[in-house]
Amino acid sequence: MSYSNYEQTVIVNGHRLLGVQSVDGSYGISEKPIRVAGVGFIDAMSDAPLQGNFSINRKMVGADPLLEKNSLGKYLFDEQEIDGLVLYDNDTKGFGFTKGRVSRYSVNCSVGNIPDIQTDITVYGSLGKNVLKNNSYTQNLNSSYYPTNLSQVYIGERGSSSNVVDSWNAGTLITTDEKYSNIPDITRERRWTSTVSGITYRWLELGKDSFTLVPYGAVIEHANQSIQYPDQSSIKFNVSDFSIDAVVDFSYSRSINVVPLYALQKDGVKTWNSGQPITSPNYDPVQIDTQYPIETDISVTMIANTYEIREIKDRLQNAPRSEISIDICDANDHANIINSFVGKNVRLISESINSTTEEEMNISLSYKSYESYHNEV
Amino acid sequence: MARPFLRFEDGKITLNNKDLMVNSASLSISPSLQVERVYGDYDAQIAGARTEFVNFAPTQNLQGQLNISFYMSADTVSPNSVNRLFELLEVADPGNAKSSISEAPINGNVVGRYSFDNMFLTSFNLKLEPFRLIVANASYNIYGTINRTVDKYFTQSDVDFAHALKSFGEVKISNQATDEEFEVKSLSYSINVERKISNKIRENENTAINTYAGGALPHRVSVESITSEVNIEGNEMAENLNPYGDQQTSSSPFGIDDSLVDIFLYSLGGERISRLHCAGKIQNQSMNIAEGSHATSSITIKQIIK
Repeated sequence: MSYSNYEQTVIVNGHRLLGVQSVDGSYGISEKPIRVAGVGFIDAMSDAPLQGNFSINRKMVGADPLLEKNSLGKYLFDEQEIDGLVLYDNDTKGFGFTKGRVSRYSVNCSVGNIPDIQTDITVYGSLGKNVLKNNSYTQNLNSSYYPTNLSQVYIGERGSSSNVVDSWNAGTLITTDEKYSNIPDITRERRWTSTVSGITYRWLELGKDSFTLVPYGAVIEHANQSIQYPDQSSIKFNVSDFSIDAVVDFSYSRSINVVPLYALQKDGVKTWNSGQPITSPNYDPVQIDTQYPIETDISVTMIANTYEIREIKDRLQNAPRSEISIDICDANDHANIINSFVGKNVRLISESINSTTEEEMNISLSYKSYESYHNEV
Repeated sequence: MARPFLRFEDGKITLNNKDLMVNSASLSISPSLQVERVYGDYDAQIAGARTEFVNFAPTQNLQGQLNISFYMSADTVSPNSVNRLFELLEVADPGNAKSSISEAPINGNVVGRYSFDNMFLTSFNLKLEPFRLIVANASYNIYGTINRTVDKYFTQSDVDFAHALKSFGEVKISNQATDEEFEVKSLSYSINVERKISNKIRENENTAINTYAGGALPHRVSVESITSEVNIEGNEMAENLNPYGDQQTSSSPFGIDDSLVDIFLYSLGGERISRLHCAGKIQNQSMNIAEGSHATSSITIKQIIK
């Protein structure tokens, strides 16, 4: 069976991402061939930590959940691990990852196009099928017993579970993989008449047919996000030290060097004496750190009007710093910022002028800034 | 077509008549020569004697060295089974260590196209690092000469090699368990054997010894000392280190237990291979921090086995 291009969903940190154009997920195992004198090649064995890569390309059609900031105004993904997955086959299959770190985040925009976002993620945890799978069982709303007017509903036999009639009738009942495996296949309505009082009691015992398996049910925490899209009139690019001319395109990117630290497994003589190997080897790093500074590169191309390229020696001598702000707003409401990017204390590192017989003369400026861990610069 | 140079695949390494899985070997042998200069005949021009070079004279036995690097494995039938390698298990057990390093020569050794006898273990070491194959190194002293032999190969498959992924270690500073935050990046273990050669004058003065290229051989190669050492590379140093090499948390430096390091070697398939143990005093410790890397500590613990 194949999966067509409109059947996949990309989830990152519980957010169903909007505007995804392509996703590439891969992992590689570094092997060392073992060669022995007098024998030659014998085998090849893993000789380096396992790492994977995820690359996601999106159109900016909504607020990007990856741009969440902390109280100090720093991006959370600079220091936090993220997890995610690609869901397909009606959300029943997935290719997921844990302990991912953003290694590059970039936005490219040009007149006439919706901005593109590219996010590169390096994975230090698990990667592959069944990662993040939690096998939750949600209520089958097509059950012939739903809703019920009985006052008692039980998952399986009455004696072994509690009354769940409220959530059953609300259509929100979920159960665990363990409970699900111990209940009968068929839902039954039961009755019992007391020989003393003559009263007949009726209740519902839910079987497997009253539930639907949602393998990745709890993974999607924020499924419905509002779609907002910018157009060329709703994107604002400002540089603090001059009045910018008409912008043709710009790009913004942050490169983050991440250093994983691995350690040997800790255990003792008790395990050794048991004759058994360790049950959970140290596959994952014990620490993953961002290596500062984080470099931010911003480049902008504008049609030459009032701006004139400066003298290179002035830039070297003064090395002035500027502030750049990029506000990408909703085309339908220019006061509503979809995403914004800031370049603090950026330095102009290159300027170029381009003149052709085909187009208007334009000027490209490239800025660079460095973000430190503690020391604000 | 003639193949004057030996291929890696045809250069079998055999020690004590056992084939080993060695990934590199270095064999060297050299005589110890002293220049003999004497006063020559009378020279009338200078009214004296000129100094003349006569020859090189051997001052010691012919001595060589073999250094090998090899992969350890779990399989009992494998050439690199620990049980067949250098009595390692016994060396690692302090109770048996004194008697386990043999003074008897290891004979029946072949490296590629050369065979030799009279070999004695002088050092063994290995390093455990996350995700790495475990490669051990051993050094031997050789006395006597080498002989040409026929190059050979052997076949080997399905070997369960020792691997750091399933291996683990335990570190106790002054017999106190380290805390949760103590992380070990690598463990290096080594055993060094100091040996002393003894020659008997009467045994070596007979001219018959020169009828063979090996010449005079030591009468005995005795074991003078055996030490084991572990270097721990990690994130912490031992605090409150006292002049006795212990971590002192009480008001007296006496009665403090040794620091202990155990290295438990497993194969990638989960088979036990060997337990290496070192109990001793902290010889030195250091902390390094440099641009572009995290602070790393180094602790060295040494045990005198003999």
